[in-house]
Amino acid sequence: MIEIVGLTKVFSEKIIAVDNIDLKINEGKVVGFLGPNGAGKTTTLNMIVGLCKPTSGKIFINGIDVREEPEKVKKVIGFVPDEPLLFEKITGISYLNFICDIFEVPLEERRKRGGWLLQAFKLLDAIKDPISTYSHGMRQKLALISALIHKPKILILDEPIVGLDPESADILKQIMKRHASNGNLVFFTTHIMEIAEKICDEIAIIDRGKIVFQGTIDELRQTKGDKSLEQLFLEVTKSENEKIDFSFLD
Amino acid sequence: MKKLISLSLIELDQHYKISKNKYLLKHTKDETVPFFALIAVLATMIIIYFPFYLDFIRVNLEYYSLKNIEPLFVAEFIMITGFIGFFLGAFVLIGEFFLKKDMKLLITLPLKPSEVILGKLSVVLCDQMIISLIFLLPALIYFGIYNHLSIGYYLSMILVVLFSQIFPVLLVLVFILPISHLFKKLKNKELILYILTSLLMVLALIYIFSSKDIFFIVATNPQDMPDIYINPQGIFSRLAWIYPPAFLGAKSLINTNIYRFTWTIAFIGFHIILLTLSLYIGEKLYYSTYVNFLEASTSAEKKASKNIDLLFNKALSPNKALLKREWLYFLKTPSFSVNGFTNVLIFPGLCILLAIIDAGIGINLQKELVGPLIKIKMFLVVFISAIAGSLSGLSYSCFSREGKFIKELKVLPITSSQIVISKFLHIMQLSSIGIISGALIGYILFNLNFLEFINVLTFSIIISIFFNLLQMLIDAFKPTFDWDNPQKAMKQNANGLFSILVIFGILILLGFLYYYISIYFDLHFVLIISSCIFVIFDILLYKLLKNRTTKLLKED
Repeated sequence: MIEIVGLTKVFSEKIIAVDNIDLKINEGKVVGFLGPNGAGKTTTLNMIVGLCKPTSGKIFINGIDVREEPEKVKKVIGFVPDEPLLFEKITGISYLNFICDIFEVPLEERRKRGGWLLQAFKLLDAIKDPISTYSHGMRQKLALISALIHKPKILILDEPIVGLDPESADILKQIMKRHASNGNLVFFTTHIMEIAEKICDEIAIIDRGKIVFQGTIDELRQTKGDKSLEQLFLEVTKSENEKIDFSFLD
Repeated sequence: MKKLISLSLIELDQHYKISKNKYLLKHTKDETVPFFALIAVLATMIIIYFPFYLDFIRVNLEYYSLKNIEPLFVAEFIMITGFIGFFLGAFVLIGEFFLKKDMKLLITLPLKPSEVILGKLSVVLCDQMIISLIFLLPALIYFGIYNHLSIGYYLSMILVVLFSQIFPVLLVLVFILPISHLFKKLKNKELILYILTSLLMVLALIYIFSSKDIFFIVATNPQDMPDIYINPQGIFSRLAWIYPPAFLGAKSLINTNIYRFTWTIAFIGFHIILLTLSLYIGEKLYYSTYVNFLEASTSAEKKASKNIDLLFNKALSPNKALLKREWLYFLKTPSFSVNGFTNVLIFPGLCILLAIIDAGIGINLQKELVGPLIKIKMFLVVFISAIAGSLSGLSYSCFSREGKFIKELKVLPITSSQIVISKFLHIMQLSSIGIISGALIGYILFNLNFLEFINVLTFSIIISIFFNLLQMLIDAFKPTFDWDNPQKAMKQNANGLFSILVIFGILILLGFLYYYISIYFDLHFVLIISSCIFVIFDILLYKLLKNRTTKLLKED
């Protein structure tokens, strides 16, 4: 379970990226984290995984304070950042073995799980090549495999679909659903409303650092009317798209 | 021209992080602390070393004046500055031209290769200018004041100083462009480029060594001196072949009126011709070579990779995996590995070179060079060994070298102790090459007995641990993660400057201390006591470093 209490992040002196948010995400669910660019999604995720220090507030993972016992918390998290963080000069398999060593995945387990993931994401042919030879999509796949190979209880993904081909995107969506149905938790950000609508059990919408909605899509429709998720999202985030005069481009 | 100015300004802004620093200074007050600390370090260095340097200039100039060979004084300083620029700038140039990520953008813009080359040269030359400002400018100003020279001299002097780094930088560029083009299809082109540039440096060293009799008056065999006094003009003319800018620059400085003007034009013309040649070669080769640098070759062993058992064939403990990671990231980044290995070997190498020169000239090193210090010869060996073992460049860049991969360490379930230990072990494994070779060379040079050698080696290891931990701590306080080419993490890292100052300061202080203590106590005993004291310091430093690393990993 992820529990966020009064979380705030202030960059420099004036920029409030995350403004006193509270969130509770339970096991067995796929939760989408939506919001416009610069709303505070990545900053929130970065604070959960320890990349960023909260200005105030607390984050608990399975009841453990992230700041108090970071190693214990990180052990149960699989994380994929918005930009794959991979040392380009080593081979894909060296990287996977390194991750397995750090998470202490037994050899048999890494063969079984790693082999399955490599085949599912069709990365087996390139896995002995240096990462520098990979396309953006292949790097994203490698980052996803490295997050999944140690069987994390909590999967945190920042824009995981970006760069993936339709086939791999479909595989990932199924993995996310299956992962949650096995009693784990998937928390991910996306800008693609269709994906959120298809696979999320719940969504949380953040705008200008504040949580403006958390619940199911049906609950959102009940309060805002029976519209598409995209329209609902624009309404909740008070989008001013309608005021833009596109005739300027003619 | 507008494009070029704009490009150069952007490159300089990015290189020196002018806009970013202005923003940080304005918005985060904490950023001002390291900035002022760096200024303080530089000011201290200038205050400490400048009087010695001025004295060195004065003694030299008086000596040259006495022998009536003043033009050689000017030429010698132009040349030395050029050689220093050559040795320090070669790797910087490779980083700027081939490893910096900005080329991925520049290559897509409507810019000619020659324009990009000029933009990048402006950055390298600005960096190199510090060498001329430190070594050349004071010498030339002193020369002008000493000889009561006119304003014309100072105008020419400004030109000579401004142009002084162009020749060495272009020399490297003219070498690198065809070489990189020649090997562009190879797999490890980055490493090959470094190795070949190192080879060029070795050739330059041999060249300097073989020509030293011509220009380094003070260091030559005294028997050759009369040739210089009888025919100074002849020696001076030979300079034109050895280092043309020194010849032309010196001519433009020592002549007057129309002759000065003519030689100045010749000096400028020479550089323009060389620049045109470089741009011509660059126009033909630079972009096509760089595109090849971006491409990476793939493995042909596709079928072999399908055997899952072979792919996952060995499990390591987290600690061993972290140490392996340190070695992999170090070896797979030639800018790090070449610098690291060169640094641990350079100081013992210099000592061997000194011994060879010493033997060749026939002066007894122990009597002439370290005569009064011979009673602390054990400490002198520790000095060589400790410098070789702790100035590898690895420890003051241990966190900086991570760059954006510091995030990897932050998200992995590992403790700060595991990180510190893996980094420390990696550094010490490499440093041991320097410690042992330094101690062995010292052992041979100073004729130590076995007991002295063991004592020296033990203390060298303990003090090297201390220096390496100290440098790691310096880097942990202010790491440079935001670099766009790996040279900036190691060679152009301000922490290095600070570390060198601290290490030399401590060693010199210890030298003074041991010199006076050795009057009353046996140095064997002093070194054993020192070893025990430094073991305590090592433990304390490790604890400090561990706490600082914990804080560092929690920072944004």
